[in-house]
Amino acid sequence: MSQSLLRGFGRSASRRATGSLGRRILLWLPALAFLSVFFFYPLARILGLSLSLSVLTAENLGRAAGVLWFTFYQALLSTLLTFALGLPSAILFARFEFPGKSLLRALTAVPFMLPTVVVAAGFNALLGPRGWLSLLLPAGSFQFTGTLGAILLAHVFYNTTIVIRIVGNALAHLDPRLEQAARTLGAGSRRVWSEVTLPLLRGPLLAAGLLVFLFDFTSFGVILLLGGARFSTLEVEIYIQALQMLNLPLAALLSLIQLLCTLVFSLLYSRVVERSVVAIAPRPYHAHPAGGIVQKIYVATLALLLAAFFVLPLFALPLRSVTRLEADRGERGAVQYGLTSSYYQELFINRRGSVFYVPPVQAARNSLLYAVSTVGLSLALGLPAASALARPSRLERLLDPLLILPLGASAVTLGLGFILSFHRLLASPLLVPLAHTLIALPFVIRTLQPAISSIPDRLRHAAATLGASPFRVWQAVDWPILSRAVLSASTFAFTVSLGEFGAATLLTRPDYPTLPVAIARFLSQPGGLNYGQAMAMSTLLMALTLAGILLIEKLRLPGTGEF
Amino acid sequence: MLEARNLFKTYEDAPLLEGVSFSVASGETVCLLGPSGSGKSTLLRIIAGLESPESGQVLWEGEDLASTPPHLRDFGLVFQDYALFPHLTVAENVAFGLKMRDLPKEETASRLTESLSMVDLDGFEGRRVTDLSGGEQQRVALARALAPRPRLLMFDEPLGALDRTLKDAVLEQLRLILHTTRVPAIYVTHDQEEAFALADRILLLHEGRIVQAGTPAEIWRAPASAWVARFLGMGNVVQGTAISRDGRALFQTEFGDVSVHCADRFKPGDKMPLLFRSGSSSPYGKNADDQDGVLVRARVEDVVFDRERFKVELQGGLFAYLDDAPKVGDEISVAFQVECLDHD
Repeated sequence: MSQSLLRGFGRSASRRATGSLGRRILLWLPALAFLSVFFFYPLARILGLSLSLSVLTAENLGRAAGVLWFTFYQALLSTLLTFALGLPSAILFARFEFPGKSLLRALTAVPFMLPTVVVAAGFNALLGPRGWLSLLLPAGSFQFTGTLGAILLAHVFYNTTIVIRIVGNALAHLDPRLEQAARTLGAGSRRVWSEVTLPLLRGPLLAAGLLVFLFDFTSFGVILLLGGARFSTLEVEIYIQALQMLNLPLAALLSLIQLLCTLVFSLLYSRVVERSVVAIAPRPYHAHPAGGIVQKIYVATLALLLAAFFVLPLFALPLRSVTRLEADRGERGAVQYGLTSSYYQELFINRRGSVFYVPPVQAARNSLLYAVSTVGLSLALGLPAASALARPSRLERLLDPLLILPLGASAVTLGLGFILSFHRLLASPLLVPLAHTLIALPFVIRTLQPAISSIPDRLRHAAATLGASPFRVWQAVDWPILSRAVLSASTFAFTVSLGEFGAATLLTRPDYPTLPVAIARFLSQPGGLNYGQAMAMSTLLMALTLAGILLIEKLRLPGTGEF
Repeated sequence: MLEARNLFKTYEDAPLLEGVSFSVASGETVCLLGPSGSGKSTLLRIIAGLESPESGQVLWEGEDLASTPPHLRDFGLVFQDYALFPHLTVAENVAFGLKMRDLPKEETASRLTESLSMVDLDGFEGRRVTDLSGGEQQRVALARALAPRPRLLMFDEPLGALDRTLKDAVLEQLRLILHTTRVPAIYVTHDQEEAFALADRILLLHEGRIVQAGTPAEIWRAPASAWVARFLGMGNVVQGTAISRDGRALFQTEFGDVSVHCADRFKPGDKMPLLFRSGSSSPYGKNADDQDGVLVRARVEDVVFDRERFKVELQGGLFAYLDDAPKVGDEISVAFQVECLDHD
């Protein structure tokens, strides 16, 4: 999801600011007011609560230290494993041409944009106790869910694409003659790697490593859903302390630690990105078909491995949602196999007749409502701010980083801040779209701003001299270019809200769940029917998200790269 | 020492090299001269081992190098745009090849100093290569290739990115280095001035073949084809038809009948391209047979200053190099020396 944000980094519009100071302040006002009330104020509450003396007890600090250590440990392990798969894959995509390459490359990027509940459900459908693998292996012979391995695997699944993109792109743009020069100077292939290629890739390797680590460090849904609460990372522990232990001060302290860590990693990342000089490449590397038996084996094995790794969980999920794999409730007889649509039909039925039970279709309706509100709100705030940013003055350069800040706070931390600040509103379903807007706003602005600055003033002036009124100018010149970006930003906000799990799980009331929250709930309940419904809902969510991604890809302005 | 034998190579299904054979003798500098796209860079890369030919051999003192990877060939290559390692300093760049050969420290240090001083870059050791000017980068690349004392040096359009003054200076330095080190060298360029200044022998490459080989003087004196004459800008190529008049073999051209001594070899009716060189464009014009010539009278269309002479365009499409500039519109007579070109 951070793709379009990262795409925005380093983009600085070169045109001078126009318009009066008053007008520009007016453009900034909505977004700033919103951030002040819904981000900085909650942040201040967290800060205030976590720094009171009563929180800083030896017990709390000890607990926090333990959680911090485990968070580091799993993030480091995940990062190393991600590189173990990502680095060979980066070489594969940068250096070799093979059939199905672009499809496979696109496939590896899909998980990165999928909601965590979908990824968790996908791995569950493949390797979980009711998954496909349980058909092949005798019961109890292996355990996947609830292990550290499950968490690590899901993290590798999520983040391999970062390594492929950042390192692979750098590798593909490395001037091939540098390696050739090394060879003519007497370096064998191993020394070419160690003396030339790797040192030149130092920046991209560090950047990718930090980014992967950051995502693993702040991961929440995957850990909670695949690992379980006993793997308490900072995120999971904030959630547990806030919702289950009702120990808000400790949750606030953990949030503060989390924020500080994220801040340090982000600063390191932008330093690395700034300083990494990618070797100038007048002629980028020309990928070629594998030659020689060793290369052929390398390409074939890795491509097949990647295809299996990225296809299986994504296909296990929808298949499982239409397949009955176990005996129905009450019938302890033979296991029945077969296709079924009953999991989908059940989504519409309140079988238990309970007031607190919410049929899944209700959750889907909630999610859609929240998503639409998020789109409306983030556009209303983002459009004026993006217009101001499109012609930056000193004011804009000063305010710009403020807009990015909410991204540094995890969704769980945002949720905690809301709980602390607006406890009287907790009964209202309003908080979720507000939190989602905070998350979506930076992306929305980063999508709109380049589109607005891409419209040359000459066109507006030409239209005006031809007799168009300001509104007609806007209608004839700005809107046709802007509409694509608006649609793209809307889709983005929509999919972000639809799949968001961390904040929603802290903020939703039991009778007003979102789709991801409902999926998590159904996954954790016993019974084949609940499981099947979780699969069905996840499949729907995946389909919606994929449709969103495809739409955004289609709308992408030509010339804007990735990351 | 080095021998290329019947090399063939295609690029994207189009033939690039079509049977190229040549050799480089000890201490000799050979220039591969040809227009862009003639396959000369590919030829160099094949010799370096960075690409393999589809057929043909590269031999060193009679030994086939097909199974020798580039890093064991001990051939130095200076790349176009230099390909300096941006993450290393000047000294680290120049010492790279020495490091790969695991030379002892003192040896590395002395060769580094020696190579840098050979290209007048003493004191540049600690500089970042990205901070250097184009000419300085060029000299670092040269020093880097020289330092391991390769048994063959190759240059791929090394001066292409430099401006003229700088080019002349580097060319002078290169001449000196090649002459003092006596290392055999292959120099690829599309610039005839570079080739004439450096080469002991020039190989003219056109459409994947060597169309002429010889010393610069030999090639200038007797271009082998109309293409060579045009590519080197020697003069006007004019179509002639062999005729016989009064027992004398002549060529009929649109600028009048021309007597050329080589006309004897043709039957009347044969068509042949002829080279019309104006007196001062041919350094050998004064010694040539005075019989082989034609006087053309035409109006001056344009006069272009060209250093110590003027290039004069005449009505009808001929040009001539003259010592004094006529006025545009004047009608003048120009004597052209005419030579046979064996084919197109």
